[in-house]
Amino acid sequence: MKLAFVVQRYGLDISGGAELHCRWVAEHMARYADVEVLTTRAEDYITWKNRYPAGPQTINGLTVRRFSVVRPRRPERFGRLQEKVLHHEHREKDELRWLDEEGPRSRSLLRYIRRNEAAYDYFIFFSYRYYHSYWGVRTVPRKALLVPTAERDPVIGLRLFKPLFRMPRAFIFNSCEERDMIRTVSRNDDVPGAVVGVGTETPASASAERFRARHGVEGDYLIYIGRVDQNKGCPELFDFFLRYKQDTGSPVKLVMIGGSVLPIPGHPDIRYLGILPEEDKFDALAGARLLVMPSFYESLSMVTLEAWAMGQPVLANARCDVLKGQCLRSNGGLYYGDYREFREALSLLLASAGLREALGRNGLAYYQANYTWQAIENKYLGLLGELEGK
Amino acid sequence: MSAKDQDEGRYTQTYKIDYARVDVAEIMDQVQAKAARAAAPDDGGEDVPGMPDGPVWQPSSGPLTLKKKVKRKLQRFLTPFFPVMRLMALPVHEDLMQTNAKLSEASAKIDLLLHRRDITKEYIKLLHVLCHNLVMELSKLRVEHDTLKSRVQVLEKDFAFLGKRESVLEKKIAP
Repeated sequence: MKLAFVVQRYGLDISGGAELHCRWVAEHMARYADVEVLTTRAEDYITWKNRYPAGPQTINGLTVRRFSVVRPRRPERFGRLQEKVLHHEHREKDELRWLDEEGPRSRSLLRYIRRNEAAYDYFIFFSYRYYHSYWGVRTVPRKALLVPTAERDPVIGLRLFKPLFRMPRAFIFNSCEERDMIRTVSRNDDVPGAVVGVGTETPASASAERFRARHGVEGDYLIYIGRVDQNKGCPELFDFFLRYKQDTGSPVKLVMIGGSVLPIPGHPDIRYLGILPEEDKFDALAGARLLVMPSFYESLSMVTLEAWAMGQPVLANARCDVLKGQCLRSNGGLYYGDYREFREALSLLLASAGLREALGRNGLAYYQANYTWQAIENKYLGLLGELEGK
Repeated sequence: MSAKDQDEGRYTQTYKIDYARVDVAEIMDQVQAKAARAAAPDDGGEDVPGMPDGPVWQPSSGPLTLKKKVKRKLQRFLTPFFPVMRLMALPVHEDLMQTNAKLSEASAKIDLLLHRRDITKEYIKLLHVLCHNLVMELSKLRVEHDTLKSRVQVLEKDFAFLGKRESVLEKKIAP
């Protein structure tokens, strides 16, 4: 079986959620099938400027074919179009213009897919909202599997995506909530799909002491891992955490790991460490009291799975239905809808080592049942086998 | 058992948790109920957050230094002029008092606005939920409308067919 993974960006240094998800799945599926990656030359998701060389190259044993982006995104025009399609009366033509501007607009990629349709058994498209998925699925609908990585943001409501969701041969969802949302939006119940997600690997040994010694972190701390961004709920987390400290006088600290596009409050108990290597990240996770996940929009949250894989409990934002659903299904974390719930849930978690242990244990069991690589590979193989049988 | 452990024990005692079979939904019900109780009546009666617990500042009463001696002599020398100085400072004092009054008035207004802002925030959250529910209901209604419309079309066709059949049968019975 020959599979093509089609994604907007691809590379070892690209750490975006969907891109990393695609790379990991492609590398694991290479054990069972002949896998190629079709992508663009872009490195930056804001402008999609061509940075990587064109043509085929090999990354971690996989053939990666890169195609040029015709025109980089013009952020001002894109912003204007986005404002129009999300907040004002508009026509479908405007949505198509928005999609063109969102990019990455690579006609050569679509041309390649059309001309080489027969050479591949299935094309697995990642991220429904980009140009390559919208036109790619339309080019080869009978061979297209779509991994939507959809979040509950307003883009999902655009008219142009309804027919797209009825078109692919099958869906690979990240969560039950994502599946229900897409089914509700497009009423595509007849299109088969499976809730799969993505696996994660934890290091054999993670050392909290090593992390504390290397970064000078003392005492109990909560950890946040991910981009420090408005959409990830970080301003609310800062606000809640500082209010919590003021109200309770707790000595707990907040350690933040990841790139930042927001100013971090200059409080001595908020430690921002920037982007860290994987080893440090897992060391930090091992020493934390819990992982806090304040994001409003998630289609899966790989960091939450990593925390559960390490046996750590999670405190998540209940306004993200995926995070809340994952906590309820796994019994591996608590959630909060406002400051009062945040205060109560955090106080309870910090006070009860027994509860933290029990939640961590449940999270680990949930991870082992659903998100080890063997489980993920089996789900992919099961879906592909089902499609072959039809 | 340390004091910290005792505090922790006291806190967790208010929750009913089966540690062998943790049920997050059940715990969250308790957390939400407790958060709602804490929010209820006496939010205004809390201590001022951030108030330090340490000792209050007191003026020091050590031996007289040169600075203090000079200060005392100067005070003694200026005492006869104090009424004149007070008289001269009176307009400034009045201005200061008026400014204070205005500031406390502004502070009260800000408090009121902050309170209104909080209420508006909650209201917006409710509106958001309402909008979401309305969109859901409208979507359902639209689907139902489409279904009913197609049923009506089917019934119309059936009706037309039966009408034609009736006229044909009538012609056959009574040509």
